[in-house]
Amino acid sequence: MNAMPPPLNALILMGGKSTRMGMDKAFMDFHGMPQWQYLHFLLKPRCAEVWLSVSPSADHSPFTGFNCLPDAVAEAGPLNGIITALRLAPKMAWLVVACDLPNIGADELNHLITNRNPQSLATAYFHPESDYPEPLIAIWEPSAQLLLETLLTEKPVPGPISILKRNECHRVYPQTSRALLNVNSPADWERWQKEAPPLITVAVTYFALMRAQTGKGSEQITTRAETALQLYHELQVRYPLSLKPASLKVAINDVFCPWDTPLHAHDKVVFIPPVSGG
Amino acid sequence: MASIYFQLSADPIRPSLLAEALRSPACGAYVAFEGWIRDTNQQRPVSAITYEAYHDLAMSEGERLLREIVEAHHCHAAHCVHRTGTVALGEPAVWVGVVAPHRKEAFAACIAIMDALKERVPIWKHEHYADGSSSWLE
Repeated sequence: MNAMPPPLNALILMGGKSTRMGMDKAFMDFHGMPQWQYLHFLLKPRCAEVWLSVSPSADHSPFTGFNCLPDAVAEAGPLNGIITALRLAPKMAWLVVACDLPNIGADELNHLITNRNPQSLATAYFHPESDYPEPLIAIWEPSAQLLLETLLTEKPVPGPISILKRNECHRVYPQTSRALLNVNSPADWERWQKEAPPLITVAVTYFALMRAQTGKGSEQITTRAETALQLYHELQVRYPLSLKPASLKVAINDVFCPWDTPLHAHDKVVFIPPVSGG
Repeated sequence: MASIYFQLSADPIRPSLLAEALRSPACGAYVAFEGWIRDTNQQRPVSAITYEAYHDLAMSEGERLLREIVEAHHCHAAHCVHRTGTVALGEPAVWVGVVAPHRKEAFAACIAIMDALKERVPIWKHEHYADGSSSWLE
């Protein structure tokens, strides 16, 4: 008998003001918006509910309208949020994602979710070289709660890496070497920015079905997308778009263009749904 | 030089006035097409259609296709007007007029213009149904 696996909730680990980073990691801007917001866009269509794991003392006003979950325990570092989430909804599995993994996108989340093993304590990404787990992009199953609550009574409470290494955890390896890159210091951040395409702002106008599905006539979008196709993939993260690129055409500055056309700052971009004049 | 005219119009189309502009002593053939709003689409009763256009690109693409087809079919003039906004049942949504020395070229060009228009020009139909619902045609 195969019971349905527990459904997924998402938990975005906001962290606090990082001493090494000198700023709040949740607000680092890798993709044209604060990273917590980018993750929220990515996780919303993939999970039943998305929660922000926040420190009880933090200012919650930037998150008005979002589900905030202040830590109910204080002893377990990054596990505080995970334990709090498992207490909130003990029958749900929790897909936990930290804000300092800038290369996590739709593909990386899909890969983890597809390869999930609900029978294990957790499904986690492992670094292929060191074979160390990355506990802060992982799916924690309801069965993990009992163990974590027990470990909470130990002094000191073991860290999430050693918990995953010591216990039955399902390993998933990333599809690209850059997927698990971690930005932990101003030097990491500088290096990441140097390697990433520059942020540009483009004007996107929507017509017909695109306008109906975005709820907007036009908007300015700040992005690291280098081509029209990459920009469309970003829009698919932000909005529930039913049209696939194959059925759309692209116009840049009022001229039809191929999907791989490079984008420049201030370009006017339109994704053209199948036309139906006459 | 062939005469080319493409227009998007928020006002009702008046085919008789548009036809007058095409009159030419060199042309023995005038072929026109009017597309009207039909009261059903795929068995659903339709009450009206709202047309939306990407104005700048629709204008340039509309003019481009008229020029291509007029040259390919050796016509003297091709004009086209497409409605934007809400068009009532029975009203024209699109008008195409072509003149040429002889009828075969004019007929062929008129068909080619309508085919290309429906394929290439960024204009979209938002259908309103008798039951009060509406949808963008995909």
